[in-house]
Amino acid sequence: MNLLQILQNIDRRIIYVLMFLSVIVPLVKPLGLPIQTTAPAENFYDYIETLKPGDKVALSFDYDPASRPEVHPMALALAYHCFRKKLKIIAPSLWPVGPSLAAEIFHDMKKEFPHLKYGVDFVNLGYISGPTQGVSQVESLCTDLKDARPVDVHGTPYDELPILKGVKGLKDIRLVISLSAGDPGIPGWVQIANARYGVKIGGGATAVQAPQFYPYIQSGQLIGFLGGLRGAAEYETLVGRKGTGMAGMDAQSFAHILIILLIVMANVLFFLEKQQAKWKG
Amino acid sequence: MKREIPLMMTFIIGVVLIIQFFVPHRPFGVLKSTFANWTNIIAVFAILLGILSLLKVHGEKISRRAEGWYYSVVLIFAFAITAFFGLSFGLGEKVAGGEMRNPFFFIYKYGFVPLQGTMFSLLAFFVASAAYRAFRARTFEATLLLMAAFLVMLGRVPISQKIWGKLPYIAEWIMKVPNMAGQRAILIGAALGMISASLRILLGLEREHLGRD
Repeated sequence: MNLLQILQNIDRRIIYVLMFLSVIVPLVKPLGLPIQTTAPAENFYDYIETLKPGDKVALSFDYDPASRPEVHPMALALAYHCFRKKLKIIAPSLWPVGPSLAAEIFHDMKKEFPHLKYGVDFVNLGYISGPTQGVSQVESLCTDLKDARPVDVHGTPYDELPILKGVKGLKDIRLVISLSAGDPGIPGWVQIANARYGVKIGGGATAVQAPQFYPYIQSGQLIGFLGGLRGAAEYETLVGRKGTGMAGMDAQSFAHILIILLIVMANVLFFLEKQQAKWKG
Repeated sequence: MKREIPLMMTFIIGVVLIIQFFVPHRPFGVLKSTFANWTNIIAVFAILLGILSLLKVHGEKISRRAEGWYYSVVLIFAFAITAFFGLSFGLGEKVAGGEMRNPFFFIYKYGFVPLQGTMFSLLAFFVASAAYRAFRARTFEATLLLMAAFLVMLGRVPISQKIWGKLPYIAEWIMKVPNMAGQRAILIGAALGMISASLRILLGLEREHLGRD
């Protein structure tokens, strides 16, 4: 075997080790690279800045622990921004594990805002079950919240929650934010809540999903959007709160560079092999 | 009648739900809520079926001592423990901050969450290995795709500003213009396809879901 063949058939464990090092070293020794914010994140921030204290916002937890590393940091940054503005958060979930993730967010926010009171400043509505794509769930949340969730996740009746006074459906509130990792998620909120009832929708999703939501951003159906860990880092920069989004960007930088270098190296070897075959032939 | 009754039910319920979208008042709104509740109830039975099937498959694997049967033991043990705590304690008492505290939530937070995150994180290693082995610029289109991928991958991370200040803007342009156009085309195409397939099912032209005679 010549050098070309050895490099082309490199043991994948070497690649795994390189990937591991490219992620762990920046996490242990961060570089603190500055994050440049983009328009979708800035528009999101600017819209929330226009809301007044006491306004109600829905933060829908439409993701699971598999997407937690990417989406949870944006949930924390958004919740922090909302509570800093003294907004009230209603938290439905279109995914079964959403309520547990919502509970974690509120638990963390209580440490930063000790005055927050459950039932007054935020409520965890729990999982709203339904068929795929979230159409019927979103429809029922928009029109009749009490029918969709007569009790919150702890079994407290709708009428005993002060935050829900005067809220017949989510179409009556200022903004719905969907933190989404698939279906049901942002598409359901945009196609039903925004298209049918004119509800303002903001979105956060994994980086893999992000490209598919750019049509909604361009058409204005999403007032703002955060894509992947980069989106979380941008929002943390905008609200001035250091979190795991910013901490992960150094690691992501080096991981991306590693993948690019591997692809370039593989293609250089590929072309060298072709040239070699031409010369021999 | 074995096929005609389900076809008729599909047509009637489908038409009611379509009308309900445009006329949300009685009786269509009430019918829609009823059908939605029925769907949830049927979904619960489907979950039960899935659980019984899972236990049956792994139980058989253990009894036959098939390859990897010990993993099945771990699975059934974990299922039993989680189900026991879930059914015994439910979601637990409300604590200031709204977080549930009980053994079930402990299993979720310190078992399920890290494990599911780990499984997803493994993708990073597989992507790196697959990229090295498979991503080749064999054609002009493949080269174009790779160049776009490089620009977006670099532009989306903060180190790109140190390499070239314009990289983030180029990446954002790729996402906002060519990507957006392609995604919109896919969205519209998929929506038209879904309408066509749904109409075929409602009108009984598509009968694969009823099984063979």
